[in-house]
Amino acid sequence: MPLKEEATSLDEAALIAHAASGSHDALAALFALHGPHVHRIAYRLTMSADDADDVVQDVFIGLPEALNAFSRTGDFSAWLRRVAVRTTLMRMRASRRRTATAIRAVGEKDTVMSNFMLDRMAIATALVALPDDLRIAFMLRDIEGYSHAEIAAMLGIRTGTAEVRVHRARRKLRALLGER
Amino acid sequence: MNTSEEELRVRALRDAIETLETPPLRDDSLSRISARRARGERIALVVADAAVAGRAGGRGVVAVLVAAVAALVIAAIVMRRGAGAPATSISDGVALAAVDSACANAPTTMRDSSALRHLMISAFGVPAACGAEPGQDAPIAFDASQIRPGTFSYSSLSITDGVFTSRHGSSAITVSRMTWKGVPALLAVRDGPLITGVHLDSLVVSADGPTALYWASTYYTQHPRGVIHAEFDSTSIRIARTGRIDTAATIPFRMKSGQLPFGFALPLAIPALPLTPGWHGTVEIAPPIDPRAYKYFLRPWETMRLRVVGRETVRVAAGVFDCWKVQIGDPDGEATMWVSTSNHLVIRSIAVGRNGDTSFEDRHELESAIFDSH
Repeated sequence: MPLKEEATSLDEAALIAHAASGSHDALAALFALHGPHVHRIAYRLTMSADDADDVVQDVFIGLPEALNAFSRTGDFSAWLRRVAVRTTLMRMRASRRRTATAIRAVGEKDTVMSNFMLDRMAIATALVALPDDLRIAFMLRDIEGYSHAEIAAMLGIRTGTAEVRVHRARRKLRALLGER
Repeated sequence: MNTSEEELRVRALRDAIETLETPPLRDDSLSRISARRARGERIALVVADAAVAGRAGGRGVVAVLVAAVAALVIAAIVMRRGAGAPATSISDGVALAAVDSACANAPTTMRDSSALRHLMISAFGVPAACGAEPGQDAPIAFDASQIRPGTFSYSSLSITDGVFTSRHGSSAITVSRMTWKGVPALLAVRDGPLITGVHLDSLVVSADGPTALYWASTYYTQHPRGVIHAEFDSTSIRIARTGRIDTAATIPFRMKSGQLPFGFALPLAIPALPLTPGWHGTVEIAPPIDPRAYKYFLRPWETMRLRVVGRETVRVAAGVFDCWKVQIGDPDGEATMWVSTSNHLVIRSIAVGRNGDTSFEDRHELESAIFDSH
């Protein structure tokens, strides 16, 4: 391991230990390091800025106590990412979020846009229009890079079901995007 | 499509998605986290993968009920009664107007004696106002006299997938009698540990029927502190919001008598139900509040089917109570409430259900009850 990277890991290990013991400063430092990643994952899964903000709040409010379950020798970033995914899934399942709100939010943006912006809007709209279970599977597989087995474990489904969901999500996305 | 084509398409899509902007993390995120932790708020995160479900998919849960029970437990607010309320008047006939509205909207088929029973229960007295003749199945009128003012504390426990347990702090509901702009009214104020940071805190309803008159909510996790208050009349709701967003609007909405947010149905509606062996009916409740609170009253109302299925003795922290066992169910899940036969309080509620691959169980129990002496 390069020296700088090792030093960072050591620093992070200390931060984790201090955060677990209730240090506000350590929690703030972990937030600075990982908050944006948690937020991005939550946003990609929910396609809702409000929900992503809620997830960030949940994760970091619960983090100090949850750190007791973290193996100090493991990859904290990967561990936290999975916690963020699970927290997002829990929130989505519990709140039965209505996609119509998000779709409307996308549609209410500026009316003057470049083709590039329109393409991105089309993609965003298509992602919002995907059923939650398909979007989650797609995002976890194709964007976050989890394996089908990992997705299956996180969602509590069989690996084959995860594969089917990813496949259906890709097919539906293509349809929504007019095979672009 | 062959594999390489598929890979190319996926890669193109992934690249396009990677260009999508993620909204920036809010500047006050960390300060809100710190403030909430400083107030003692804790959230049990799921740190292990869920067990593989026995079946894929599955029916939805009584999501609104489960979430609402949780929302009730996590509500935290102190009422600022009347603070900044619009200087508009409430019609003295607001309750009657709401009843008229409900009658006008009632399908003709619901005016017969059997279906009427459901309608009547759902609206707490609407059929009587609609001119229904009392008979064998006499209309069940909302009986506000059964609501005893006092302060009631509840504890709550949530279990996900039978494994992950979150124990919430106590929440309290205080009910008192008051006069709201000349109308005899009931006020319910809720207080408790803050988790969502956004929730209802107080509701005023007319005492002769649970018709909403005024709603106030404070959002302590927002900076500057957010406040929403709303006044209701027979045709519209006037909502004003201050804090991070300053705005006001009038939303056309015909409030019906008996339409209450679930958390407020517990102290303001359930105790007034004339529960007897075999009693059954439906109540309408609002979905739980969420950060898009402004759209709250435009969202669909949910119907809970209630049925008295027995009488049991229940032991909770607040004591031992003789209770009506009331089943709440729909095709997506079910819950059970135990309602005291003497003081009409909800003593315990257990909501179970499934949403996708996740199972939920929420338990809610009376910790203490302090009744006002007068």
